[in-house]
Amino acid sequence: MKNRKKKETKVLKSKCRSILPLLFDYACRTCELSKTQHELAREHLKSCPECSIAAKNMQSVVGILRQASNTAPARLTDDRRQRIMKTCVLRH
Amino acid sequence: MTNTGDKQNAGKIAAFDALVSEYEGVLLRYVTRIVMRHDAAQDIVQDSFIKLFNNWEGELHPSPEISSWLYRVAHNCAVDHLRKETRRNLLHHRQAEERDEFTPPNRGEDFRLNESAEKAAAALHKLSLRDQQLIILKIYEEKSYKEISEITGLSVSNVGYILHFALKKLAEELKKSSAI
Repeated sequence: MKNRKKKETKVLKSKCRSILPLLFDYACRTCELSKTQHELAREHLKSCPECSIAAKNMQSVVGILRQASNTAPARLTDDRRQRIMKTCVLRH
Repeated sequence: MTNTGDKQNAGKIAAFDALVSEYEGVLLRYVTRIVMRHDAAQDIVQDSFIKLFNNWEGELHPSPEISSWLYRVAHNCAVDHLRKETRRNLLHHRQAEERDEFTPPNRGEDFRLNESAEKAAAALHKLSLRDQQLIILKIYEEKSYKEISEITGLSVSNVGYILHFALKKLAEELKKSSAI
């Protein structure tokens, strides 16, 4: 009985391992998963509370990270851009 | 030099100028997230483009290969910058200790975030540089596993595993700072 339970846990763990790479895309609804992968992740989360919690945690972490908008300027400063172009011209 | 040679050179420089315009914004955003200083990010991106011009042997037109190359070189330059800064800060710390004073090093004056963003940025910076890199590329730059694999040199399945555990560590850090 004990052995059977151990075996079941092992199977579940190996299933969890195969789902891990899909979890982020499933939880964050990216477009990377195929229909089959999406279905695989959905079915696994239904029967695995651990992975289901992990997916929910992932969603909240990603939500918080996305709030942290980036204030980086979209362009290089004029002097840096001139330095790049000057180096290129000099090399020619 | 012949007129044809001049025209070819002018064409190469114009193509490179267009390439800089194409990638400067994304690279500045990416590097700023790692080094958290606008001035340092500007220098790193500038150097990355100069390295590209000096080392790239193919056509200088926007392509997935050039994009991955630029991300990889900019990341390595950012890591070098952080290492130098850590060494400088250690030295500063030791000198301050000798004078019996200590002023913690600050991030750039121009780098300001709101409270939750501060917590997220602080938690992110407690992770290893490799973990930070994967999270930034996936969450902010929205790169696919294949693109991340090309930038980092990791296998696609490794990207998935490392990203999963990096997010788990990040969740723990955010819980510690009561952000979630």
